[in-house]
Amino acid sequence: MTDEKRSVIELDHVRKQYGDFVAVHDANFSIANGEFFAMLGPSGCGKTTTLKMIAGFEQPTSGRVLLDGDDVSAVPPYRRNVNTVFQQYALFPHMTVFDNVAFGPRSAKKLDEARIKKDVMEMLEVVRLDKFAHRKPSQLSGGQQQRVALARALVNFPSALLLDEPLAALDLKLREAMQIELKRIQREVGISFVFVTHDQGEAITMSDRIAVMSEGQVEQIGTPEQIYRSPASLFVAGFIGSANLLPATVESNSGQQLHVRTTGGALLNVPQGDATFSVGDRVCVMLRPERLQPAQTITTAGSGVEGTLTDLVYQGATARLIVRQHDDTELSALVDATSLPHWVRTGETMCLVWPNDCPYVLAGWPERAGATTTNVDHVEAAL
Amino acid sequence: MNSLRSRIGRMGLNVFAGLGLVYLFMPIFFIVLFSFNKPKGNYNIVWQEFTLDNWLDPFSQSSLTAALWVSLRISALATVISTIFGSLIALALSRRSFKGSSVINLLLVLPLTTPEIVLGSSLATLFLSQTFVDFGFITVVIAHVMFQVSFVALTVRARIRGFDWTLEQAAADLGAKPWRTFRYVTFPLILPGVLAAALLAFALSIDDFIITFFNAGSTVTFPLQIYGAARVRIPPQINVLASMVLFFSIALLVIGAVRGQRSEAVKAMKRSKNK
Repeated sequence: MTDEKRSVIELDHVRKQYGDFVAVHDANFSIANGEFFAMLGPSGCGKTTTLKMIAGFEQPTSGRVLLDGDDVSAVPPYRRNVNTVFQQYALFPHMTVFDNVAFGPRSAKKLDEARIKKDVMEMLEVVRLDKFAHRKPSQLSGGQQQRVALARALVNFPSALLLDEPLAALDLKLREAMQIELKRIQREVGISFVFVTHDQGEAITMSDRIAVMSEGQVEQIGTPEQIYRSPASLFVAGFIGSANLLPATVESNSGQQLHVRTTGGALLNVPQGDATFSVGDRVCVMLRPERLQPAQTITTAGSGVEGTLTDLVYQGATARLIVRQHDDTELSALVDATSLPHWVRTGETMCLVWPNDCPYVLAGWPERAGATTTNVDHVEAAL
Repeated sequence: MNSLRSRIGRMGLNVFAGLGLVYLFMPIFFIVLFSFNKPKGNYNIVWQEFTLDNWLDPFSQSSLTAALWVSLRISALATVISTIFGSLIALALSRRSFKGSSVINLLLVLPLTTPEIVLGSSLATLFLSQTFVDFGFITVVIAHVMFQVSFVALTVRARIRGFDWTLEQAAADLGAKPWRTFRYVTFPLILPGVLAAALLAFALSIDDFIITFFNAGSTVTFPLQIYGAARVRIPPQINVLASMVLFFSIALLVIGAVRGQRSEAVKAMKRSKNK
């Protein structure tokens, strides 16, 4: 495909305000053709509002929404070449599966009924529901209804498919199956998927790129790996995966390396990263739990901390260690449970050490020092 | 001991429920019963003997038949008008609250709580003060629409309370313009509520006496005719025509119920066939 990098959706400094409340501050990004793009954030971060502005259900207060290069900011939803999969699917309950899927093509009035029938049945085959064409939505399971909603949107061959928390209504097992199914369907049809979710695991496993949002701001846009390895803000660091956040102050700067003293008193060597810091700056050292290793002593100065093991939780192949430092901040480490040394015992003093490239420095101090509470292990497993 | 008490309690409840039903249906039973009576004299109020004559010749009282025909035409027209307006009001009020929607809510309840005598007389004053329409068929239709609209709007609104408005968004999203969305998505889904409201409006209209009395002029509806005739005679044909209206409405209910069951049965059949 030559137009692989052509952008399908562009948000040009889009802002949405309800009275005094700013739902979206300044969304300014574009989504490429064929891309699987996630908008990720906690509820109320403005991700659904942004999606609705792309679909046309909301108009931006200022800024422009462009579809295929055309400004559609004032164009009603029924004239926009994007389709939505709604959170609760919004299938028409009085129509059969076939009529639901045929609703879009019939509204467009461009094709004759025979062609519509062929398209609809083909799309039902893609989502593997061709045998259910004459059922009513109420006679289908949640997962099947979801696939009807997908087929109903995709049969119109939109420039982009918008999905609003599409998996939230499914139970865990089905959700995991649908994640794979969604990826398969997206590859098959080659259309951009824009996907709104509050589930970071979902965003990371499925997306090509993620926009992390918080309180109406786009905090960071990047590949799942970029966002995980080098979060742009403390919010992103805490929201994606689990992290240990140590507040510290810069003591010296050698260009490549920073020497920082944590509030717990430990002197750490950390790589400078993309940002530049000067002596006296308040910074936060982020350590991912799966990169920490238990040790009896700190062999490389500045690459470890000492504390007391307060908790040891076996999780099958892995084990989670909670180490409390002298200043009461807790670090969490995710280690291989099969090769756990005998001296790792609850109540004993031990060290946690890490390789040189593990720490990542962010500006500012976190609200809460230590391990973030989001202990979502499958994110670490996915990367 | 306990089970005996609860059994007595349950029996008592059944007896009371039965008495309640008897209380409700006794008058209707007598209307039907006396349509088979062969009265002596002008008043059909004392049981004499069984006859089918009245049913074999229900339209013998030409003025009564004419009045029924007038009533049916008035009620049908008023019901169509009020159902359209009332349903649109209900849709507007349910979709979102807008400036003035609370005022409209208040205005809707007003005709239900105002005594009919006030509605009737004030409307008559209004009609008297203008020269565009004379009292008659039109004024009765206008009067009926006035109070029916409230009933329709409130009934439809109650029935569509749980309506999922994202369905309209979904239709728009799939390229349907507003009219197509209404025609193929919104309307079919609210239709049962609209029909229920129309039936109620029709029933209220066809038996209205007070408001009609004030605004009918020389037009004579079925209730007005019975009221007028009752002073000189009560022919059994009144009971026959009333019973016909009754059986007609029961038939409507039964058809509705049977169709509902049939479509359930068809669904069940299709389900088992798919398996």
